[in-house]
Amino acid sequence: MTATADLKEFIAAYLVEAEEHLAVANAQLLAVESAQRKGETNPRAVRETFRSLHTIKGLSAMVGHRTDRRHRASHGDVPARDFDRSGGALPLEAIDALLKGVRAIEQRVLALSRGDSAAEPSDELLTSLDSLGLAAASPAAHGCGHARPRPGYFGQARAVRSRSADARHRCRTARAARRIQPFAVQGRRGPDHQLRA
Amino acid sequence: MTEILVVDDSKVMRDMIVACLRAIQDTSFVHASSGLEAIERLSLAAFDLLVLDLNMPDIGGIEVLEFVRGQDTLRALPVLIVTTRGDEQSRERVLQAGATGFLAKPFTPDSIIAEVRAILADRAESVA
Repeated sequence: MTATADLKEFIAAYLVEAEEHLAVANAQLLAVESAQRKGETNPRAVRETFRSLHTIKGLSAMVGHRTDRRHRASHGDVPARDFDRSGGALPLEAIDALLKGVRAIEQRVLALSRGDSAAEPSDELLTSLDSLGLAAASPAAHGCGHARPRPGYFGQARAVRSRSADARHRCRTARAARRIQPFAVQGRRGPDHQLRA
Repeated sequence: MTEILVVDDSKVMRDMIVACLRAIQDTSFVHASSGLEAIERLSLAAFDLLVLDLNMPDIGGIEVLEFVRGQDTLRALPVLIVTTRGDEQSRERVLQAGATGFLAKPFTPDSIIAEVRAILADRAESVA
């Protein structure tokens, strides 16, 4: 039997990928901010921000970073569904807090790459994230080890997720299925290569 | 030889999953970095297990899962969802969508190996 993998061996690769995702998160947050200042929304930028932060969160936990409340806030832990369903519009104060949060993650990643110990995220940053309903509550209070979103902007935004958003998801899948039609293998896929309704 | 398709937009995460599962003998791996690429690969070759992330660009893991369960030729393919969305609501959602297993990140090498072994054993039983 092969020896059990040591995931700490992936720290160098983690640092490279984390930096890429941080750059994406920064750029996308600035795109959201730009749209917001014009009175527009940018759902794709919000989604990409969320995706990058969640990837960093998952990778950080896998390579052994602590994920208590303070560290979750500085490793991209935001209530996924609430952020995802914000409708592409974030208040400017939320964008500002998130940009500061991304900066805090950058500092920690940089410190890790140098072999230094990083400064703890400030109480001010945690408080500003808390006030937006982004920072994590005590996992124990929720009972399943995951943060329960607090009431606030994102909690309200969840309620406005519309049927059209679900329909867009289905359309995306259908478009993807149409694109892969030429790849279908005769015999492996029948003529009824259709998505389930 | 057991063929496993590992789908995650993070290369590091795919490499970690493969590093863990190399402990299972006679197993080979194919990577896909997006939902669309996963669907393409599923169309080109047969696999014994799909290890699938939820949060990906283009089409997400739920859509890939729904696609798989909607295909006659793929319906029986076991799908293990591996995600940072470890809450009960996400778990219920993916199991309702037809996932065979659900594993929250971070996971340990032992936990993913145990999960995959159990799924493959069930599959072998159902085929026999």
